[in-house]
Amino acid sequence: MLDMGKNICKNYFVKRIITILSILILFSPLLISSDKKGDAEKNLKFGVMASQKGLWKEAIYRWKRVIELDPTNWKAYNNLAVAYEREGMFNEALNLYQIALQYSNDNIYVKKNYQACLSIIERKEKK
Amino acid sequence: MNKKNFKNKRIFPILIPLISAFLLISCTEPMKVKIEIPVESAVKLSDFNEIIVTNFFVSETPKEFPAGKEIANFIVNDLRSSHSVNVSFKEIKFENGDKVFGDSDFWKNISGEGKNLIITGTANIKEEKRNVIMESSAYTEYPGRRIVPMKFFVFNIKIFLIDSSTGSIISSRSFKEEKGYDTPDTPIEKGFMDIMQRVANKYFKDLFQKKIEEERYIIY
Repeated sequence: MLDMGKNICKNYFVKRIITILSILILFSPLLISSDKKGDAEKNLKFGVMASQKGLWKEAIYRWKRVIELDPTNWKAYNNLAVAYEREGMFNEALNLYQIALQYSNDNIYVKKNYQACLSIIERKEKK
Repeated sequence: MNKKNFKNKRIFPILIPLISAFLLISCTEPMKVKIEIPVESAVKLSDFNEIIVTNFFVSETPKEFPAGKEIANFIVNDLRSSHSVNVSFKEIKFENGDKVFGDSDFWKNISGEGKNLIITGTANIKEEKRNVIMESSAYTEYPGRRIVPMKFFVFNIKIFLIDSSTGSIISSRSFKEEKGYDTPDTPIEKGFMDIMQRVANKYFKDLFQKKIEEERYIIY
């Protein structure tokens, strides 16, 4: 009777450990991706701070890194596009705004940036 | 916890979207930034191998002031400090006066091979003494209105940009600038520097790299 009880306990703990392990294995990609997203957010904010201090090259590097870590981060696409406009790379900026609009479901601020960039390109083409 | 609060579960379908919308808005913070955007300038520096600045043709200048060479020196230094492009000085002789600006062969020959940008021009500098009515406050040594003799420097400068490959003028602009000083012994060098700085700010700043200020949103 005592042995039976011990076996039940053992089985119970083994089952529990297996369950926990399988949950961990199942959700590990999610954990890794959430870590990546955290890194992306840090880089995004770092880029914003760099741009505020006029360090636009650093900001570009940071926002590119954000896109590497989180390819759907529309804020990074938007910010990178602003930096590209500052460099005079208007067509590249426009493409990035379009991606940002796609991922952000037409965010109003991205839209405003996009329209301003588009009007510069149109003015240039008219000349 | 008061269980009654959770009894009316119909409120959740309304609350959840509201809370999530609030969270979404509060997480997206746009920041309005002013950025300087480069727009097409009148002259593309990248089209040229080098900038050659010549001495200016001077029709009138105060005694012993080599205005023609000084203007060129000023432009050379200004361009070297603000642009990463080769800038050199070349002294030329204006044997036919200002007629040389229309002589494309002359400009083709002076810079040798390649496509270079020549900056040259004419200058006329005058010193004038004028009496100016000045009003001083009650707390100064001479309160009220009084006539003050002032020294003025009047600059008439015309700058030409010439493409050395064709010898033709691609851009020209005239400036009339003056500056007055209430100290009659102000040297010409002082007036020259002040006025040339003004010309450089007006002309060279926008000539090669015109920028416009625009507003954009950075989002974090």
